Amino acid sequence: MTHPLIQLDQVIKEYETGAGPLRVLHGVSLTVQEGEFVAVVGPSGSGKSTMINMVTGIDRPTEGVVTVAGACLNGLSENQMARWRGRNVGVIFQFFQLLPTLNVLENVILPMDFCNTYPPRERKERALHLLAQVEMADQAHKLPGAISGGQKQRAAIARALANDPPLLVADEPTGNLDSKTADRVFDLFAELVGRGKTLVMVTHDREIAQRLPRVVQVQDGCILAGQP
Amino acid sequence: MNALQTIRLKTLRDLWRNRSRTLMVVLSVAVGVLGVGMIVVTWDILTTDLGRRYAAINPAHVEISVPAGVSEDDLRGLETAPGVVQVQGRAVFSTRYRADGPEGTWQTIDLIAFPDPTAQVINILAPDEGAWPPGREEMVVERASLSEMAAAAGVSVNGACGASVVVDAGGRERSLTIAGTVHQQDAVTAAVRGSPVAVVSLDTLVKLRGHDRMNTIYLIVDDLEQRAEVAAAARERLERAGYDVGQVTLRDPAVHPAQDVLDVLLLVMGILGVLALALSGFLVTNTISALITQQIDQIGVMKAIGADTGLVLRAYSLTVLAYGVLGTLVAMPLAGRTGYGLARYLAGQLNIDLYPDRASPLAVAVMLGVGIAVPFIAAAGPLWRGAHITVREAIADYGLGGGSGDNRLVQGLDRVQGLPRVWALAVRNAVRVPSRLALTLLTLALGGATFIAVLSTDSSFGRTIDNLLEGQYGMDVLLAFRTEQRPSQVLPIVTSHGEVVRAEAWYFDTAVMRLASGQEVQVTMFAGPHDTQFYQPTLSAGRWLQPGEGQARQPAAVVVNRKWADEEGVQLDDPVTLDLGDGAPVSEWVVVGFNQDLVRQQTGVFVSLESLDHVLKRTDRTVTLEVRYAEHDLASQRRITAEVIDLLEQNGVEVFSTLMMSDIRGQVVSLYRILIIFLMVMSVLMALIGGLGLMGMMSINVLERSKEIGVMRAIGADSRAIVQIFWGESMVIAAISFILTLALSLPLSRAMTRAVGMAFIDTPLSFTYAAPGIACWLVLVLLIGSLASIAPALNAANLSVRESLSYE
Ligand SMILES: Nc1ncnc2c1ncn2[C@@H]1O[C@H](COP(=O)(O)OP(=O)(O)OP(=O)(O)O)[C@@H](O)[C@H]1O
Ligand SMILES: [Mg+2]
Repeated sequence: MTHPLIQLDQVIKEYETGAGPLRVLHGVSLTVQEGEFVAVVGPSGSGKSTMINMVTGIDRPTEGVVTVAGACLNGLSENQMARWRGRNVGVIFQFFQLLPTLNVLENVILPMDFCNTYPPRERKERALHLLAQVEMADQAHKLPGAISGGQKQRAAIARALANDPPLLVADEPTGNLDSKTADRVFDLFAELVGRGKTLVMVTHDREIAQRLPRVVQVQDGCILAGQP
Repeated sequence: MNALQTIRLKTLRDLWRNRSRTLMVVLSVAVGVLGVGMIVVTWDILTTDLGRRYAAINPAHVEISVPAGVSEDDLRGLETAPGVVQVQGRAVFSTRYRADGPEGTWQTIDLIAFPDPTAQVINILAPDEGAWPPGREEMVVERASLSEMAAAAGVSVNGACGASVVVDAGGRERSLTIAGTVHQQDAVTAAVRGSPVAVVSLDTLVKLRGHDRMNTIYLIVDDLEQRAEVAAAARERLERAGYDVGQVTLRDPAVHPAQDVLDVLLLVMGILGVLALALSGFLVTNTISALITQQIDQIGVMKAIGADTGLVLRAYSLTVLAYGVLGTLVAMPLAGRTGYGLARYLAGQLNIDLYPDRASPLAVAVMLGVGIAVPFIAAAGPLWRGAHITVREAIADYGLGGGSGDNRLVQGLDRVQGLPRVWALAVRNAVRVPSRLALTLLTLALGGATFIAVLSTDSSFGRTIDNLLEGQYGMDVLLAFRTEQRPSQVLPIVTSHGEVVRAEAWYFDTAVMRLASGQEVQVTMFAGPHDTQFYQPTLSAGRWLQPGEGQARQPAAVVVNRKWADEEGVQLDDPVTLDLGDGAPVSEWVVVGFNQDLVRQQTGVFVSLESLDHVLKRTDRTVTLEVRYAEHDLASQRRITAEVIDLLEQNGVEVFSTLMMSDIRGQVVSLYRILIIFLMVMSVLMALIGGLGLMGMMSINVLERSKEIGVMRAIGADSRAIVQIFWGESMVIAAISFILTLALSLPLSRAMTRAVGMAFIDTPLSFTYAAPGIACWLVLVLLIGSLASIAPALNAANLSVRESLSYE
């Protein structure tokens, strides 16, 4: 028996622009069950990033209700949102976004520090364990400036897993990687889903999208296909 | 619209878009310009007004002192002397006064009298309040002396007019009523000067002194260039008429007598002002440098589509110009107000009224000049670097921005383990852009070092004065007698008091010294025991006085002031003569030592009382006693003095006046206090610039790291964590700057202490490092660090996550 982990209900998003409000999402509804591995595809400018920013709480809907991991995001303050996100969603960026003055290990520990999730003594050990999972244990003490793009992204994935969130959200995680490295990242994602994580990932890579059980297609702010 | 205009429009829009950054830079330019502008305003207004006020009293070109006084007829006779345009005489003398009642203690007062106060022509005294001129049994007090006289008379300042005081008239007491006040433009306040001044009528003069002769003669000459010759001729004429002429002083009517001290004071402040301006330039450097870094890709694009280096340079120059002009516009009215305020305060100390508040064209010109030039100088480096960035370099730059984070410092700090991550971030972020950190640290550290240096100067001065009064002037009180007394008679009486530790007999007089060159100069002679414990000379050359000087055909020894000797060209072993006047024989002496002295007049010369008696063939007489007590506080000094006076009067010896050491200290310190207040104002300005510099650095950091802030938000950082990281960084910088401050403050304190000592009393002060000032600055700098990070940190915490993560 599965539970819906993500529920977008008639979500409308408008941006204020110089020429008046611009509607980017036209009443999008989306449900993702626990344990699903979902690809979000669509042309550039169609609203993919906007939609998954609704899921992570990085942005807020103009109208409609967003429920993720049992919490209604509409009612959370920015601070509550940050703490909720830290515990429930692992965010993975296209440009990795490791903090440049912290080494890889410290980058992975940081979310645990922010959310105070594990006892301070255990954090380092846990981070090393996570880095080992992404085969980055030997790079733990390097600064981000000293490692490659693929290594950065694996470190970023370890960071996303730091607080053991049920949901991982990635916006074009392979967009800046060559296809071989991208494959390894994808395999890592598949493994995580196999261990019970839910994963939503925006991608432009057709090949990768085709390998996923569910593909959500976005066009002009509407979902075309992929609804079960 | 051409390319340059387009780009310029864009840079101006950027100024508005980054309002907080613009505000910060503009403010810091403003504070720097304020520091310099304020001083220029003060100097300009004071110099102009002092000059104009001084000119308005028709200041004497020549001042001749004739101690015994000149008759009215002989005075008129001077009018026909060649080159003389106007002559006026005055009687100026010291006596003592006390409150009208049995309990008042005697204090010194300087009285002035002249024939027709309504027909003054030279050094004109202006009626102030109440009656003018003074009538019978009246005195009109110089307005700056009123509060002191009122206090001595035991009445309020407002109630001073109509109160009366008792004045000593050669042994008899006369009651005079304070009838009004008068303003003497060239008289400083009584607190600075030492004793009050008042004008009495010719009638009163006769009653007080027994005659109405004038002992001070003022001359106006027709040709200023010739005033030395005219003075010499006038002197000769007086001497032919049988007068003993004392000091002859030539004055420049265009320069107020206090202008010299003022110039030194403002120079010291001017140096600090320039330093402050330089520091404010650092913030411009930091900001422009950050701006260029931030816009490297834009510059790359501009160049890729055809902009040349010159175009880029001109485009960003507009931003710099805007910072300079806006900062100067903010500073100008402030500098005008504070500068005038400072000028008014100083003028008050000098007893001068300023003309109404007005703009100083000189200051406006200076502020415009430095306000625009300094930002350009400060921005030159980063501008040049930015304009010469190649397209390739520009597009190669990517990532989170604001320092790649893998410089040596960060790598070095990475090895320091065990810090909580949030603090590790704060520490390492602080060193991400080393040049920015360096400038900020320098600004803060110089501000702190100046602060400590000012406090050190203050305590050094206090200690120097205490040392002097304790060592060089080890006595508690100076007793002057109405008539000459024999030391062998009065010393035992005084020392019989149980709390008198030591008493010495001293004889002071003015004398005319004829130098080896034949030149004659007026000096003040101090004659005391050769083994005095109340005066510790600081000899720069030669030796001090010895026993038996002047006996057995030895020439008698005299020690002179070093600075004075330098000016007059006096050498060691020079033969000199001393003429004490009053029919005493001219005596022969030899210069044996040079002494540095900051309190006694520079024209002071020292001889031993023993040798003086020997040379003058007189024995055993004195006019003053210097006495040291067992207790030195003011209350004890007062009490014991009263008891000693009683003892003396029981023995028929009348004490004419007393001078407490605490009073001397008060005089010296009050002059000096002005300087310290001014220096404090400047160090506060510097600390302010330091704070602005730190705030500027923090807000640049927030701006550059907005993406990182978004990332931290995305991985669970709440506002507290964000604020903590930026606040922590600011505290780290404040702490490092404190260490730097410690290193800088010692040499700076020494230099400032030395400079101030040399400028004000011509001697280095004995140095005291203001240790409490260090603790004080630590607290201050941490406070500055906190305050400076509040706005940027809150800004960081309020960034919208989506906006901070979005790419432009
Ligand atoms: N802050 C904003 N203000 C105004 N319009 C915006 C803003 N952010 C996005 N948009 C617009 O919303 C639309 C959807 O943008 P979004 O970033 O979601 O597209 P996307 O599908 O992720 O595109 P890409 O594949 O290129 O990343 C675009 O037309 C974009 O111009
Ligand atoms: Mg997108």
